[in-house]
Amino acid sequence: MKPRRIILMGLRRSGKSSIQKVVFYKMPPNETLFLESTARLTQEHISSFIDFSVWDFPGQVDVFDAAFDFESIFIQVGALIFVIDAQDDYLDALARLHVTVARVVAINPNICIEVFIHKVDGLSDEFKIDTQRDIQQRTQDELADIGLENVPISFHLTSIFDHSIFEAFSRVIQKLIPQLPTLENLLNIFCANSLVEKAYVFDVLSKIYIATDSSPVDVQSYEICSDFIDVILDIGSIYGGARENHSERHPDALDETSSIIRLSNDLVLVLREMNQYLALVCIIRADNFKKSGLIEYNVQCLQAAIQSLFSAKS
Amino acid sequence: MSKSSFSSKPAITYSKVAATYSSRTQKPIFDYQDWALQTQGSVNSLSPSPDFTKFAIAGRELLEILALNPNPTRTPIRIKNFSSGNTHEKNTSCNDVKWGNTFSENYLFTCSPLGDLNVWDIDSSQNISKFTDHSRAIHSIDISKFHSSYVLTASQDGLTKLWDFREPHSAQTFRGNSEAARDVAFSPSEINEFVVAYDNGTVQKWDLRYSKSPSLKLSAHNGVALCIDYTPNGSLLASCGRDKSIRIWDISNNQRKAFSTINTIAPVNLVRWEPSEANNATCRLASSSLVGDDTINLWDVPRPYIPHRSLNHHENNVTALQWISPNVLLSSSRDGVLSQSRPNDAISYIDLMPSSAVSWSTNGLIAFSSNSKKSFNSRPQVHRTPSRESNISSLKTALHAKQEPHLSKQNSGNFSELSSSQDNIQLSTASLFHNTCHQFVQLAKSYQLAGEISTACQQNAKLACHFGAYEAQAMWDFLFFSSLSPSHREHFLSMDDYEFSLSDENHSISTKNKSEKSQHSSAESEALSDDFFESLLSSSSLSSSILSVDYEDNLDKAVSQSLNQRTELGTSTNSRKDGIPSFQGGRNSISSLHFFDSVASNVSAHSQYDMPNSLHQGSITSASNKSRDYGTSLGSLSNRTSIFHEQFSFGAEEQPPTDLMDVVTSSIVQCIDESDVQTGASVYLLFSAFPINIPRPQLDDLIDSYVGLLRRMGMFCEASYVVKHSSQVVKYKYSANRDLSFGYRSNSKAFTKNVYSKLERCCFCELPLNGIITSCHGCGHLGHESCLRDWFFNESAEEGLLCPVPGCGQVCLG
Repeated sequence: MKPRRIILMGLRRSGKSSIQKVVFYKMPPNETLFLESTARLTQEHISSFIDFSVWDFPGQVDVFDAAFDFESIFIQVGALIFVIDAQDDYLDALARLHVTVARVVAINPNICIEVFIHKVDGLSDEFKIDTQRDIQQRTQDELADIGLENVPISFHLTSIFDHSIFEAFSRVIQKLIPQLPTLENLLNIFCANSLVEKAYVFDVLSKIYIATDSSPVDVQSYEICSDFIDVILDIGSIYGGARENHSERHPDALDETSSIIRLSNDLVLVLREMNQYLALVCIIRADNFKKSGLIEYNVQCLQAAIQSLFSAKS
Repeated sequence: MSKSSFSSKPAITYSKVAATYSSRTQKPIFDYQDWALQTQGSVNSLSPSPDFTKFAIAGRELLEILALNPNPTRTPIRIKNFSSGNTHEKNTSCNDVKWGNTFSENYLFTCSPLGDLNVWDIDSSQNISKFTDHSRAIHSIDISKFHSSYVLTASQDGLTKLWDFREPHSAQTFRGNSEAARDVAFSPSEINEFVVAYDNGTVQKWDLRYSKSPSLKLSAHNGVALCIDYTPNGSLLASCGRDKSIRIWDISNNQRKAFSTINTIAPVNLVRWEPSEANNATCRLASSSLVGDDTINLWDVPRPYIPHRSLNHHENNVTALQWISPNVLLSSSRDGVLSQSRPNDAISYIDLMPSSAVSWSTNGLIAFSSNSKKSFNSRPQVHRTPSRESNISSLKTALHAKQEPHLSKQNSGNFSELSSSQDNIQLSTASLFHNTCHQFVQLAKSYQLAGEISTACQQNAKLACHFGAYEAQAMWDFLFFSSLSPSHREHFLSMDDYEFSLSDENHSISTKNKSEKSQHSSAESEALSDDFFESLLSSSSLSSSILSVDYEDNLDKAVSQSLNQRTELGTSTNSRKDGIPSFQGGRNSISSLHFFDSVASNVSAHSQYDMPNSLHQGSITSASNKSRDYGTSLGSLSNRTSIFHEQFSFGAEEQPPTDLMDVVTSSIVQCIDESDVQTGASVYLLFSAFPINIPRPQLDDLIDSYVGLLRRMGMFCEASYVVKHSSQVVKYKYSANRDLSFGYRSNSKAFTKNVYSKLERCCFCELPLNGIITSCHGCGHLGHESCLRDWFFNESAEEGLLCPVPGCGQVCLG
C-alpha cells in the first residue's frame, strides 16, 4: 500500500503555497497574490477520509542538502508534485526537476511523479499545448540521457483560477487510493443501472473527487458538481444544525444529508453524503429521474458498498 | 471485488424500466435522413460487418445485429439479439463492439465497463470466450485488418493489451504511463502499427513487436484525448479531445506538430473519416460532441473554421458514428435513436456565409476576394438554404454601386474588374486612391509649415495645385490673400473700375458659350491659379498692362470660372467624398458650408453672373481631370494679373476683408468638417502663433491624427517635425514615451513598397531595412534596432545623445 504523503516541490514563487491554500483551505484564488513566500518546510496534515499530508518545500530550500535526511523523507512519500511556472522561463525549473527525479527515483522507485505546469491561465490554448509538449519532450530526453526512460511522469496543466488544479489533484490522489478500481466499478454499475450521466465521489472538504465512473470527465459536469457542494455547504452552515458531534458518531452510521436540484436544462443534480468525508454527486437527465425511488435505492446500495469497502481495508 | 452483492439487485429492478422502451421506427424528420429507429436503451457503439450489409449495435443490456435493407430508405431489420435470454447477465453491458474480419468474420467482440473482453459467435449467439485480464473498464477495442485474430483493448487501467482471441491470455501489454487509455486503432496501412489515445491528452504510436515504449508520443490535447481515427489510407490520423479541438496528424511521417487543428464549440468525443473511392483523396471528417452539442459536424480539413455540413437530427448527445459508404452515415444518440443519413443533403453553413470580403489599406488600396465555387450538392438543395449565387450577385452589385462614383472622380485609379469566372477563388486588389495617397505623401513632405506667413501660403498653394489638391489650394489662396497687409489690399481696391466691365462681359459670354468650352477654360483657369499669385507683388507695376489686355473669349471664361471654382471648391470636396455629383446650386451649398466671410460676399457678386448650375457641375467635375493637359499651355503674366485683380476686387468692393484670424479659424473648422486632416493641420501649424478660436482639444486631436497618419505612412521625420511645432499637449504625449518603439515591418511588399521606398535604408548602416526597425522620437530617422542601440548605448556620453544621421544634430536622448 502506498503511503499517502504528498510533497509539493518547485522553484520559489512557482505557486506551491497558493495551490495548497486554494485546494485545502478554500482561499479565494486572487487572495493568493498576497501570500508571503514560504521560508521553511511546512507540513500540513489534511484530515479527510483518507489521511494524506502535504509537505510544502520552500523553493529556496535545497532538499538534497546534507542537512536533510531526504532518504527517510522520500521513502514515505506517495506522490511528488513538482510545480513549474509556465509563465516564467522554465529551463531552471526543468533542470531542478531532472535532478530531483533522478534522486527521488533512486530512493523510492514506486513514487508517483506529477508535474504541474502551473499558472497557465494567462496562456492561449495553443501556447499551453506547446509549452506542455516542450516540457514533456525536454524531460523525456533528459531522463533518457541518464537512463531513466521509463519513469512514469504525469504532466498536468493547472491554474488556481479554474478547476484544473482540483482535477489535477484529484488525479494525483486517485493514484494513492488502492481501492480505486473497485470504487470505479461500483460507480460504473451504479451509473449503468440508474441511467446516471455522470457520478462523482467527492471529498467534501477539498472538493477533490476521489473516484468517478469511467466515462470521460468533462469540465462542465465537474464544475457544476463542485459548485453544488459549495452551495450545499454554505446553506448547511447557515440553516443546518450543529455538527459538533459529527466526528464522535459511530463510523458506520449512515449520514442522511442529501440534496436534489433540478436544473432548467432538464438535468437533475443529486447529492448524497456517503460518509463523514465523502459525498456522491451525480447528474441525471430529468427523463431518467422519474423513478426516483429506484435511484434512491441504488444510492443506498452504493453507500453500503462504499462503507464496507473502506471499513474492510482500514 | 466487492461489486457482486450490490450490483445484481438494482440491475434486475431497473431493467424493468428499460424494458418500457420499445424498438420502434420513427418517422425521419429531416429530408437528409434515410431512416430513424428507436432502440431499447442507449447505443454505445456500432460496428458494420466487413461487407457492410449488416451491423452490430451494443449498449447497456443491448447487443443486436441488424441487417441493412437493400433499399436505403427502409429501416434495417433485427436479425439477432444476443441479450435475449440472458438479460440479467452483467457482461451484456458494452462499451464498444467490433465485428471481426476475414477469418474472424463470424465473431463479434465486445468490451464491458467491468473490464471483460467478450467474443461472441454470431451463428450460435453464444459467448465463446471471455477475457478478464483488465482490472478496470475497457473503453475501446480494435481488430487488426491484417491478422484477423489480433484484438487490441484500451482500458481505464492505462494498459493496452494485445490478444489473440484463440489464446487464453493476452499476448502483449503496452504500458502507456499516461493514465487511462481511451481509444485504440490499428493502422489500416502498417501491419504492426497502432495508436492509443490517453486520458492525459497524449496520443502514442506503438509497434506490436516492441512493448517497452511507444515509437511516437504526441502531446495532442489539453485534457482527455477521447477518440482517434486513421484515414482509410493510413496517412493521416485525427484525434479529438475534451479541449474542444480536433487535430490532424501526419502520422506516417512522425510529425510531432499537428498538421491541422479544428476548433469546435464543445468537447469532441468521436471523429470518423469518411471513406472515399479514390484511395488518396483527402476526405471529410465527421465529429460529434461529448456534451452540450447534439449535432454531427462534417469537416473539410482545408477549411477548419466552419463545418462543411451539420446534421442536427439527434436530440441527445451522439454516442456512435459509423460510415457505411461515402455519404452514408450511421449514428446513434444517448436516447437510443439510431439513424442513417446522407450528409451531402444536409444544411451547409458554408453556403450561408458571405463568400466575399472587402478591405481597405491605409495606402488607398482596396482588396477583395470573391468565391464563386459551385455548391457541393449533387442533389437538389435543401429549400431553406439560400443559394450562393444570389449572394454573390447581390454583393457584386453592391460593390459596383459603391465604386463607380470613385471611378468617375479619379480616372487614374486602376480598378480591376471583379472576375465573373465561376470556379475559382480570387483575391484582387484595386488601387482607387493611389493618387490621393501619393498626393498626401508628397504634400506632407513639401508643405512649408513655418516662416513668413504669406509666402508660406503662396508656396503651399502652389504645391497643392502641383499635386492636384485643388481644395487645399483654394484654402491656401484665401489664406494668402487674407494674410496680405492692408496696403496691398488697398492697392487692389483702387482698381475697381475694371471690375464692372469685366463682370458684364463675363455674363454675356457665360450665357452664350457651350458648356464644353467652359469646361476647357475652367481647366485652364485652374492651372493658371497655380502661378498667378506669384505675380501679385509685381501687379502694381503691371497694372498698366492690365488695361491693354485683349480679352479673348476663353480667357474671360477662365476668369469667371476661376471665381466660381473658388467659391465652390468647398462643395466639390464634399461631393467628391459622397460620390454624388450634384450641386444644389452654388449659392445654397456655399452658404451652408460657412465658407469664408469673404466668400459669402463673393456669392452675392457671383449671382450677378447668373451662371446656370449645370455649368458649374460640368466644370468642376472635369476640372480636376483635365487641368494637367491644359495647365501649362496658357497664361501670360498680364492675364494672371487681371484674374487676380478681378478676384479680389469683388471681395473688396462689397465687404472689407475680414480679420485674418476668422479666416484661419473658419478654414480649419471646414477642414475638420471635411476630415481633411492634412490641410487642417498644416494651416494650424502655420498659424499656430495666432489665437485660433477653436477648442484646444479639437486642435490637438487634429494634430494628433495627422501625426498618426504620417506615422502610418512611414514618414517619421515629418511626424516628428509636426510634433515639434505643435502644442505642449501633443508634445507631451509623444515625448512621454521616451523609449524607442519597436515594430516589425511586414513583408507584404505590395502594400508598403511605395510608402517605404524612400526609407528602405537604415540611417546608420545604410543597409536595407528589415527585421526589427525603430525610429527615434526626436528626429524620426529610421534604422535597425540593433544599429541604433549600438549607437546610442555604446558611444561616449556626448556623441551618444546625438542622432547618427550626419548633419541632423538632433539630441535624440535628452
